[in-house]
Amino acid sequence: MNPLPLVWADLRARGAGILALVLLVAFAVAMGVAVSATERGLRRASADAARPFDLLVGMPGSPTQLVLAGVYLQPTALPLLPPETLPGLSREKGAAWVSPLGFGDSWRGSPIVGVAPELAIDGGRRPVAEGRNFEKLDEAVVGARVKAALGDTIEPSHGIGQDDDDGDAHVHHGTHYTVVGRMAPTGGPWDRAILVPIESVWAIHGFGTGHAAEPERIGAPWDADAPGVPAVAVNVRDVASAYVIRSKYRTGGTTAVFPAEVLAGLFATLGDVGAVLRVFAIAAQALVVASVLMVVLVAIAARRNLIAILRALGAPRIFVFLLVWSEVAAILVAAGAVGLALGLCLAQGVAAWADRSLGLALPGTLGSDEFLLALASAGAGLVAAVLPAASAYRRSVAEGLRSA
Amino acid sequence: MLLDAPAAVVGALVASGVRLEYPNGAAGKLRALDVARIELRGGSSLGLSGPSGSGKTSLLHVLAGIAAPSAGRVMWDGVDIAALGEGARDVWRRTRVGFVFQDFHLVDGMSVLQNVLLPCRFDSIRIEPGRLAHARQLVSAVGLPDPDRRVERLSRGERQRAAIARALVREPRILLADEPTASLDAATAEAIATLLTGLSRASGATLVVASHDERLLSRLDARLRLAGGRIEEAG
Repeated sequence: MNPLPLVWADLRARGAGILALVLLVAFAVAMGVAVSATERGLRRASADAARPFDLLVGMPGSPTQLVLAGVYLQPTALPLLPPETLPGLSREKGAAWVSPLGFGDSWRGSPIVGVAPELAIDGGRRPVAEGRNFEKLDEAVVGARVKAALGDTIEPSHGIGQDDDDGDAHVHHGTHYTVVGRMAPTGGPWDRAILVPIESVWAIHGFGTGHAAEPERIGAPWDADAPGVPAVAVNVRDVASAYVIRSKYRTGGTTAVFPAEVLAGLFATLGDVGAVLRVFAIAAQALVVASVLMVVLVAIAARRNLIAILRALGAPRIFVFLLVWSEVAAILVAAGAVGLALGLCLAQGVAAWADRSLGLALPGTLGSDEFLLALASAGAGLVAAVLPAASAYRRSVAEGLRSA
Repeated sequence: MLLDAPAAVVGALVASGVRLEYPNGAAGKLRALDVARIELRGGSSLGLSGPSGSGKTSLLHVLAGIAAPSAGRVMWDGVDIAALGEGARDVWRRTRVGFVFQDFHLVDGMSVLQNVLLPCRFDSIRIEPGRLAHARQLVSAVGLPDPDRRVERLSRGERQRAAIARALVREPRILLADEPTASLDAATAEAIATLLTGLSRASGATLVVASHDERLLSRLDARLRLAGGRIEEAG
């Protein structure tokens, strides 16, 4: 038996109403899909961004703020560490390398971060993609997405996001960097950053270079009275060393955090929010599926005459069932497909926003979770449609014909 | 009551003691039909006349197996369809009966040919080429030039012609029609009456028609006049 020509004729006859239903269900599916894809992408992108940072040391305060500033380069005013902290950390046996993080300057919206040379290449694990690492005070390595070419000159401005055209009150006159390298992509905010020697940042602001005997030198070790920095990234040799250093720098007026641990806490919160959003999305879908079923019931009531006529012509029970059920199936499958496409668009929209606002490269793609979600929504609707479809056969044919 | 010779060929009917009752609240039951006996030879035609509410449509429904009688037997070719379950009656009706309704009841959004082929879709996924060719011949035979035309664009007379083709597409041995000319103008009604009786004779189907239309009834082999659910007069 084949009720599809009838289903198709009915769908065409009620085109506008059916389209509205499909879009209604599709929006609900899209919401769920987008929430799921965005949360998954956010977790992955933020974890990727934090990977090079084993340990962050800063002044006591909010660990989240320290991670947001140090890992995600969010403009935050962090108090400076005491001068002895950086030299002390660089002498730690368990530290493979340490890098001060000096924020505050920018160029055309890209933050300029004073660092040790090791950070630009993740201690050698991530060589520069173009050119070479900085070796002199006036050299810079740009992130993968900074719009500057090798050999370009960068003139830093004080502050983040300042437009050079605002005037030159914030520009550090007489200071410039030459771009000598480009970092390999990280997929995080550091792709928009410009990395320069921390010594030059200190020097621009009149604090010397941290190497009194060799002012042109860059990198560790620094003088014991080197200027303070808001945060220090520590790359450890092993897990045990990480705990030893963290424990040591959690006392004495500093704090040390594992970014991964802070992120886990954030994810737990985000995860709760994600779970709530998912519940809302699923509730919305359940409501829409319920409304679809209501519409199906109304449609069955409106089409009782047709069902009676079909039965008078000899249509078997299964044909009538399939007629009603296939129509619901067609609506839900179409809505699932449209919902996936809309969800993908939404996820890509959020990814574009995250890229612009947070510098996080969210994948903006759908995974098996999202496909399963759409399938589950459609499947639930198909199962739920069994009852009204089965009930379509119950009314007396003679009664149906009399009212036809 | 004997109409023509005793039933022996396909499409022969013997109905006896047929009663159809409906629950009627405190009043108990409402008897819609109380027919002592009808016999009809296969391939012949019978008209059911009578005023509105006399039981014509109810009798037609019982004969088609659409409604199960409260009592009695409805034997078509020796099979008592009153004793069959609902599913079995559906199968019997699908394979042996064609039905023409007063208001045509074609499915809008489908073409003439799709409507005609509709009963063929009840038990097969694809339409066999032979069945398709037969349907096209029927559409042509009922005088519709364009089988692909959407039915909502047809006139009332054309719609009834399509409905007759649909009733005949499975080559039924029994053709039942409920007021097939009631909603048509006189000229169209005449044409439909000619078509219905002509095609049923040509196919050898037994034809039972419930109608007020004297011109249609006069074309049939026999007539039963119903009143209050009973046979008032046979002729």
